[in-house]
Order: sequence, then structure tokens, then C-alpha cells
Amino acid sequence: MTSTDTKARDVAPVKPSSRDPIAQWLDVFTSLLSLPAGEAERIRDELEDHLRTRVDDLLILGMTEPEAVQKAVTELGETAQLAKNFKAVRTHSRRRIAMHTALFAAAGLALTVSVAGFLPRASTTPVTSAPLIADAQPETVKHNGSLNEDLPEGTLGDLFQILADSGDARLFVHWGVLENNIGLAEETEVPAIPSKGLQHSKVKQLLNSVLNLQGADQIDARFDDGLLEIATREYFDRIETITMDHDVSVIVPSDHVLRTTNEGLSLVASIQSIVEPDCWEENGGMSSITINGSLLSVRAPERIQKEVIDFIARLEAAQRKQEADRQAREKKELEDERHSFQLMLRKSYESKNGLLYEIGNLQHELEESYVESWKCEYGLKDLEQDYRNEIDPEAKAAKLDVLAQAGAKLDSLRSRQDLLRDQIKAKRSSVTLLENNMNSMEWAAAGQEDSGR
Amino acid sequence: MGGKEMVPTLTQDQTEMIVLSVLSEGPSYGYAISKQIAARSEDTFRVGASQLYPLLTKLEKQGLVSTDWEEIKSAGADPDAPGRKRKWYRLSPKGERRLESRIAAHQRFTAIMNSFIAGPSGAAS
Repeated sequence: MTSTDTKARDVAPVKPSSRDPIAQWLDVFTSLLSLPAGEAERIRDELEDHLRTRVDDLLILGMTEPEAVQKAVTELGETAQLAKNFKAVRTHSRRRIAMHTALFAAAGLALTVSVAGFLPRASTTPVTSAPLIADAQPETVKHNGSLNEDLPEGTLGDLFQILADSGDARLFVHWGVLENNIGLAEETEVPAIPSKGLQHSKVKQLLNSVLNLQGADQIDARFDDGLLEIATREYFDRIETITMDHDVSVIVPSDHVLRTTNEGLSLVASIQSIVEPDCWEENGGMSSITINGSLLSVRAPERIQKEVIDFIARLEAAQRKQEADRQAREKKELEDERHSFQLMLRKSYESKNGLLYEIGNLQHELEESYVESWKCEYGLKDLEQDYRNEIDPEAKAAKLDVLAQAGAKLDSLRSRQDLLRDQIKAKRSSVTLLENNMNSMEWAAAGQEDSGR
Repeated sequence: MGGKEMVPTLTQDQTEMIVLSVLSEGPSYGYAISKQIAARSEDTFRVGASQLYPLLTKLEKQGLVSTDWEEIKSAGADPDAPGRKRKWYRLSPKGERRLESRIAAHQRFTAIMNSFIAGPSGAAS
């Protein structure tokens, strides 16, 4: 029964300025959606309307535009979940079926038990920048063991031990942290998890799902030097919090002072709304961002730092792509314009040649006319003389007629000569105009050549 | 007795009922719906964008609402330039039936709860 009428879908999409922070945020948001282009575009349109209407409201309340934009984008802290939530709606029914079969069926089970994400103890190298992502990657060493058998129903202590054994790791569990923070003890019963043959790629996620743990209260683990260490996410976040300087000069011109520009504020707001919103001080978390020239000084756990690095890298990539697209567009416009100049020049040359040819014809006709009129004048003199010498009245009258006809012919020739001269003059003016235009075009084309180099 | 006042949290079903209820009064769009919910609940209920828009998408997919688009132009904008697009939602007949069943369920729930709390003090009377 759903009908999607379209009143104005044929309008071209609005292309906001590349400096527009809302458009920048929407670019990033849309890239996170990973939905078909048309669907993502409609979501983007709807969210853009929400953001811009919100900014309008905040402006009416007396905020400055940068403040209003920052607040509107910051409010989307919860909207950072939006991408996931939209995808969740799209795949809801499919996932529900998958969950039903996954939880209790045998093979292909979604409850993949793993120890993935068991990162090694974080290095505390304190300074990095976006280009150093590649350097950061090798630190993320995953534990690649797999389970040879289903995890039976048992205690949490047993389960951790099985996981450690399956990866030939020694086990250290911060039971005090688990018990005090999330009420889990070694004896806590965990239901059976059919996991035989599955890779250790999602154990944290699945275990947390089974135990209904989220956010800072999740069970988290690190694998380093043969030791599997287990505690809460909050615990690891606390001990792994470091300060890193992220160079964002590619995203924001270095001659700008980030703190006082829209770009700087919206960049911080975008990071805080997209990279784990709950972790930032503004939203009750422990992480913070300080602006320092073209550096963002981020104090956060290393896992957040990696996300920030990734986010900045994506923005940089988007910025570079935008710049490359702009240059390609300008180059094409230049080439089109050059081509257009050349076309116009060629047409001008053709027009000029045509005019010169016509002028030549007219001049030729004029010269012939001059010859004829001279002959006519000489003829007239003879006729006048003949007429004056005639004494017979009848013959004299006849010669007068001949004389009049010759006079009329001479007048006609002279009129035609006036007309030809006017035409030649007009066509020469046209040639002069064309030549001036062609000179201008050649100058402009030469200028383009210089700027194109 | 003092103490902290509890802020009620909406369940998904309640949020759906509220959104359908707002739309039963006429077509609306996302931002206006969220403002109306906040205003009518005196800011007690806030349905954020991360909850509202996926819910509206779900309602649309389920045929509970129909949608159409409007082109919006800012005051003073170039009349020939394309404006931004606003998605309007309208309750469908199926949505009306869903709203009625949600309201009935809610009223049954409220009546049952009242039967528990209407003690000697007559608090729920």
C-alpha cells in the first residue's frame, strides 16, 4: 500500500559548496551507509533537510552560523548510529531468519566463537599523523586460532580457558575487574555455543552478545606474546589511552587557525559524531580533542586513535578526490573552451575568405562597369556632336531620343557603381571586424595556453 | 519524599505508536515529527534522528506510511537553482489500523497497571 509519489524528484541534486561543513558531514555519512546509490541518496536528502532545518532553527534562537552548524552536527552523535540503523532496517528480516537458524542450527552458525580483536598490548608511541596509518596497521596482530569443538555449557572460567588453549596461549583474566564492573565471575554460567571449526574472529562480539554486554561494559581481550589477557573494554581503554597529534593540514588549509574556523569546528564535531560518539568527554566519555594549529591533539585509547586516523584518511582521500575531480573538470572546461575558440577561429577564417571572394567579384564588376561607362561617355560626346550637326528636324528628333537613351544608360551605370562601392565598403568593414575578433580570440587562446601549462 | 525523578524511556512499540499518532493528525516530515514529540511531551520524550529516521523507513517498508517529496527553497535563494528535498510522510489505511491496535494494547496495559497501583491510597483513581 506504500506509494512513493514523486513531486520534485526530477530536480537536479543540489551540489553544495565543498566548503559547506554540512555537505562534508553528509559525504562522510553517505560513504558509511554502504547502501545502493539511489537509496543512500534519498537518505542523504532527508538527513540534509533535517540538518539544515535544525541550523535554521538554531540561528533563529540567536546562535552564530558556525555554532548552529556545530550543534546540529554534534546532535547527530546519536545519528552516527544512523548508518547502522538504516542498514539494520534494510536487512532486518534477513537477519532475523539468520539469527533463528544461527543460534540453534549446526553449521554456518552466526555465533562464531573467536579470539579475534585480541590485539597485542598497545604501543604507546605518542605522536602520529594520518599518513602514518600504514605504520599503525602492523600492530594489529590477530590471534588466528580456531576451535576444534563446540563450546559446551559451562562456566566463564572454563570458556576462557578453552579459548586460550585453542590458541596455545597462557590465560590471564582480570576477574576483579569483571566482577566489580559487570558482575561476572569465574563461576558465571555460559550457555553452550556450537562453534566447532569456526575461526576465532568474533569471539568478543559473540560472547558479549550471549551475555548481553555493550559499550564500555563489554568483555575485551588482548593477545600479546602468547598471553591472552581478558578484562572489560573500559579497563583496556583506561590503560591504553594515549595522546596523538593528527595532522589535518590536507583537510584544512594550514594558514587557517582551526579553532576559529568552521572547518576546524565541524571537523571536530564530525569526528565526535562518527568515531564512537560515546567515548568523547562531550558525551560523557573519557576521550578528548584539542585543536592546535593544523594538528588535532586527540587523547583517547589506541583503538579510537586508529578509528580517528582512518576517519581523517578517508576525509583526506575525499578531499584529494574532490581536488582531482576539480582539476579534471577545469582541464576539460579549458579544452572545451580551446576547442570552441579553434572552431570559432576556423569559422571566422572561412567567413573572411568568403567576404574577400565576394569583394573581389564586386570589384571586378565595378571595374567592368567603369569601362562600360567610359565607353558610354565617349559615345555620348559623339552622339551630341552628331545631334548638333544634324539639320533635318526629323533626324534631329530621332538622334535626340538616342542621346536620351544613352544618357539614361550612363546614369544607370553610375547608380550601379555607387551601389557596388557601398557593398564593397560594407564587406570590407565586416572583414575588419572579423579580423579584430580573430585577433582577440588568438590572444585569448594564447593566454589559455600559458595558464594551461 | 525527594529523590531523583525517573525519566521514562520509550520502548520501540511506544515510539512507533507516538510517531503514527503524530501522523494521524496530518502529513509531516522527520524534523517536524521529532519537534512535535518533544513539544507535546514537554521535552520528556526525545526521539533522536538515529531512532526516528530508521523507524520511518521501516514504517514505509511495512506500508504503514506513504511518502512523497517536496522541493524546498530558502528565502532569497536563486529561484532557478534546485532546492533541497523534503520527505513527507502520510499515514496509510494500514497504518491507521496499526495505530488503533497499538492504542488498544496500550490502554489494556495501562488498565492492568492501574489495577496494581490503585491501592488504598487510590493513587490511580
